[in-house]
Amino acid sequence: MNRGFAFLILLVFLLAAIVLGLFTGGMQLPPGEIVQALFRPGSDGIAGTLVWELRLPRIFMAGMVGSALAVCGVVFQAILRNPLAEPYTLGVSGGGSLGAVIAILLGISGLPMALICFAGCCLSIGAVLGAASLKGFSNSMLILAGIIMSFLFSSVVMFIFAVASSREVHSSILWLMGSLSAPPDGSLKMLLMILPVMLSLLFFSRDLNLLSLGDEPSYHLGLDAKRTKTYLLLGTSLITGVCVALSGIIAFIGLVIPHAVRGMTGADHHSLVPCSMLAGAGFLILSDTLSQIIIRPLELPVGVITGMVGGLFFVFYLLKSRPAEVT
Amino acid sequence: MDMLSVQHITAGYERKPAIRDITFTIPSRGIMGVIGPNGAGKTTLFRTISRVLKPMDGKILYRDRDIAGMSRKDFAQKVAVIPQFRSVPPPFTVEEFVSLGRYPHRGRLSPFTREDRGIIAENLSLLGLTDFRDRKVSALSGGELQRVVLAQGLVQKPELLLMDEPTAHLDITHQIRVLDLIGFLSEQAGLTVLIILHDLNLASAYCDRVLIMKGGTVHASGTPGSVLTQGTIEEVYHTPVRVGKNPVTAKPHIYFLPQAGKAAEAAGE
Repeated sequence: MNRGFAFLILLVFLLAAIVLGLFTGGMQLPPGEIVQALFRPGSDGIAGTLVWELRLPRIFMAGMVGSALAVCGVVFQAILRNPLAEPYTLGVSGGGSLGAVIAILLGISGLPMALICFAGCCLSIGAVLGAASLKGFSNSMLILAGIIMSFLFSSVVMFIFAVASSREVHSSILWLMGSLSAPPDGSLKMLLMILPVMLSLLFFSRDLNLLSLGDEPSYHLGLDAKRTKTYLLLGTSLITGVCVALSGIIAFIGLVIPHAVRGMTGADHHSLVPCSMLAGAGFLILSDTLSQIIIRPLELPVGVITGMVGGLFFVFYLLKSRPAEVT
Repeated sequence: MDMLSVQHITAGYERKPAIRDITFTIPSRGIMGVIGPNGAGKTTLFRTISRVLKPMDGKILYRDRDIAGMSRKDFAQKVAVIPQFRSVPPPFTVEEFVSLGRYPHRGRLSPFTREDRGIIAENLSLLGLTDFRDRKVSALSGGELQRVVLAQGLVQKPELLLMDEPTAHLDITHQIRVLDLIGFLSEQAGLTVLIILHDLNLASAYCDRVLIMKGGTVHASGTPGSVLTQGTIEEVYHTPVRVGKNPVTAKPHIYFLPQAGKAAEAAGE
């Protein structure tokens, strides 16, 4: 498929998802009122509050988180040269879960909880990157350290579940499934802080192309693989940490979106990176809207939807593609 | 002036030198072959020259400049490296994959120029890959992939091409095709080539000079005619051979002597 065409399709997809998210949701209002409210920011009334204080921030957040997870998936798959890598491969979800569970146990919520959660992400990522740096950031060391950290942290989480009360366990599990329904107050600011890091990834397409060949071939084509990898790993870890802290563990986006987009644009990161950002944003906005209306008036954790859609897509994709194309 | 001068290089892994005190020069133009038994240190030497491995001692000069002091980009503009083993590449198309070889010549954000496109198209057609340009590299056969990898090295427009066993796992058609092409480039475009080969007869047929390694040192070097003798080969490989002449090119041709009887004898002991 032509790259510009793929970009255009995904842009339309994103805009459609935004429009759908704006006009549907847990509460139904006539479209006319929503349009009116949209053009009169700050106006009173249910429609104004709904659009400006609930739906638009939530769409923004879903878009940011979706696009962040997707682009981090692209970066991790290139660096680790492993099509099954995703933003959580390096154990960031384990540390984040532990932080969140501890916060829930202590009755902490909102921004402080996000910060504790983020600290957990930093802890696990720091341990993984520290261990891997001893071996020159070799891929096998990164993946092994990531898996070990995930196991360690999830064991601690299990331990806490075993001794905590069932109500706390329930709210922790809901959080672990990933949800955009109750973002803490400072979350928009935190997302705006990682926006420059995300945008900077657009300038690394060439490096990602080289890194996906492997360390030595990229070295022979003039790339300082170690330095580039260090920046990319730190940047994507920061992005993932913030996403996990704000919205829990939203499954499968980082794995499925890059694969789906690669099917449209090919493996060149010049188109893969921006297109994955668009697709990830659109996909999470759409999933989040679905999560609000499927069992209305209740809400599903959005991770359930992305997990199901992503899993089905992946099965279909693997069955349909020839072995040589899977990677 | 010599293209590359290797001076008293000692290198290896984890403080154990695999090659010791190696000194030789690669003159401009021509193909220099490196041969020797497994474990002789050929690949260690190759990795040291291509700057993957830091030498423990000694230095390597590229046109009188110490390569340790050259920037990666600078080095990549002058020297193309084609290592032996490549894992399955990501699903780039052939054209995308070959284009990566232009990166050392362009800034991070500058798009390819018409010149780049021209060089890429020229090398695709030189290697007979024009019809393959939109195929995925991950779906190519061994011989096709080897040509694609070579094309990527050539669009770097190097002065020196380093190749580690480019003919491994290829059938004779593709072996001869790859080496013919390298010979053509060396003659027509003035490319200098350092190539590790296992097949002594291919080394004899294509190399202007041959370096024989044994036990981490240079055992002998010179023209194929002067180096590929029965005495030297038997000494280095511990395998009985006879050396004759290729009836067409008059280059040395090595004949192996099957020793089935002896092996059975040794087994019976």
